[in-house]
Formats: sequence, structure tokens, C-alpha cells
Amino acid sequence: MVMATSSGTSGKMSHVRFEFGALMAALRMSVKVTRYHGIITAKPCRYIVMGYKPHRSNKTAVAKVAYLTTFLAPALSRKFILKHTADGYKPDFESIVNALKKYEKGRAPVRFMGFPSYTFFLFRLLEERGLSFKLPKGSKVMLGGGWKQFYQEAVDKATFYKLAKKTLNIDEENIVEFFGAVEHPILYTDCAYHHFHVPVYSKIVIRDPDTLEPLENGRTGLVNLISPLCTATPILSVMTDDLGILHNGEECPCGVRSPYLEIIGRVAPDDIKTCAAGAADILQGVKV
Amino acid sequence: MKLRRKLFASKDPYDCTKEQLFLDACRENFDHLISHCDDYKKICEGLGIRSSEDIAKPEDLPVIPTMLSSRNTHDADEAA
Repeated sequence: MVMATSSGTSGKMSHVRFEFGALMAALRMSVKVTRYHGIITAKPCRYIVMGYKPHRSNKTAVAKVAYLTTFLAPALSRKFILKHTADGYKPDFESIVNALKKYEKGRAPVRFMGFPSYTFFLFRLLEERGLSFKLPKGSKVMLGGGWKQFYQEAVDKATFYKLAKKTLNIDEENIVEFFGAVEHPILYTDCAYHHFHVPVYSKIVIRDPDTLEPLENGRTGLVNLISPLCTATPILSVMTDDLGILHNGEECPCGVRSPYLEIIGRVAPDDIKTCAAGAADILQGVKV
Repeated sequence: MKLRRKLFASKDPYDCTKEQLFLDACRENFDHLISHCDDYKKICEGLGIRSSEDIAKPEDLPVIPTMLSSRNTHDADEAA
């Protein structure tokens, strides 16, 4: 039995237990989905995790998943931006900048994996310093975990992709985003058009916020996530505080016919901080 | 959890023809939860759902707010 928690950046942590059968099902799912999206490769690469360095005190699912992602291609090295200190986790941007200077000269692709907020802050830092790198062919930026309490810092995808190209020379097609939650541990991976299609292992229902009645595709409502993955905790059908739209799969030219989810925002963003406070938190680090 | 195994063994992760298998796997999961987790059983009974026969489609499954798992733990007694 494995216990995982949500990030709890707002102070409210979800605790979910996973039994052996659920872990095996999750493993099968992860292999199939990542293989489908061409993320599993045999070519060794260097990982830069824009998230937590594993520590015995950190039971968050986002830390476990980010670490597991570094096994999707053989790892030559792993660098983590958030390092555990006596005062909680602190970001170390300088070590990442120094690593990039070294990796640029090598042949091994570099894979970023982690929070979009820290990744974006790195891009901004590089831009401010006038630094740009030409990383080896096959390098990727993989994003997961959402913007969390740095919601107000979130930028549109076009701006993000533009900065990735400018600072790391990584094209949009090599930027992959994952979506999931500890209460709904299904791996959603965006397609070439950056849409989160619903895999066979789950179903998404959009519900009217007032009546909770299911809404037809194309309408905005509360996101209800359903999956029979786990039996040790009753997370079969969970209601999130996210607002989203489910679009018909045919609207996306990627070829996948299953519907895709667009997250619009949160219902009660009481944990969302202002831009200034969010930026200050990023620089100070986070407690886990 | 035979049906879960079958569902997660699907070759194509975006296969749109597995809706019945998905529903059956959800029912299997529901039957397990209702017989192993008292809190879940109480919630379901409060909603008038007593067995998987009351679930005709995935939308009919009792919906648990995620905030509930951040305030309490409602683990099932025994894993399958």
C-alpha cells in the first residue's frame, strides 16, 4: 500500500492510498500513454526536474510522479530545482543555469520536467540575463503539476512556447504537458495541438454548478473525474473545484477521437495569490 | 478487479469503443467500495444508490468532492 498526498499548497492536503493492483494498473497506463506520445525512448538524456528533490518527508504525488518521469528515458543525470532545507524547499536557479551551460556542449538531450511556474521563471531569468542555449536535438520541456498558488503568474501557452524557443531553442512540438490529480491519478498528456484528450481509463463529466446535472459538450461547468483505478480509497468519481469545458474529439485535428478537456479556472480561488505575493513565494521557496 | 485489469490492458489508450468495459469496471469498483468502506456506503445510501444495479451510466456514480479527502480519510478496509 502506498500513500500519496496532493501538494497542499493551500494548506489542505488530500490523502489517497493506492493498493498494489492500482499501482500496477497505473504503471500499465503510464507506459501505454507515454509510448503513444513518443515520450518513452531508449536514448539517454539529462533531466532537469523543475520540482522537488525527493526527500523522506515529501509524500506529494507531484514529487513522486516528477521523479518517476525521469525513468521514461535512461537518465545520465538528474538535477532538481527545489532542494530540501531546514526551512522547507528552496529553489536553486543558479545550479540549473550552470547545468545548462554544461549540457549545451554535450550530445545528450535535456529533458525538463516539472511545474510550469518554476519553468517559466527560469525562462524569464534567462531572458533577463540575455542568456540563450542551443540544447541538443531531442530536448524536451515536460510540464505537470499546474501553476498551483502561482495561478496569477500563469501565462498563455503562446508566450510560454515563445520563451522556450528564445531561451532554450526548444520548439513547441517538443513541449508536452501532463494533467492529473492525486484524487484522480490518470495520466492526461496533451496532443500535438495541446489538447488533453480523455484516455480509455477515465471519463469526464461537466456538471452545472447549481444543479450538478451533466452538461453537454461545449458548455462550462464543474469538472467531475471518473476512473476505476483505485479501490483502497473511494475516488471512483470525484468532483473538483475546477471549471472546465469538454470538447468533442472531432474538433481537434490530431486524429484522437475521444473528447478533450479545457480547464478554465477554479470556482473558489481562495488560495490564489496576487502576482507580487506569488513571485515572492517563488523566490522564497515552498514548504512541504 | 478483473475488469479493471482488462480496461488498463487496452492497447490503444484512446480507444473509443471501450465504454461498456469502462462502465462495468466502475461498477466492479463501486461494489468493492460499498462493501469495504462504511463512509462511502453511507454517502451512497443517502443518495439512494444501494448497489451497482442502480448505476446505468458513469454519470450515475456518487460524486465525492475532492475537498472531502483533504479533510478526512475514508480508506476502504481491504484492498482487492
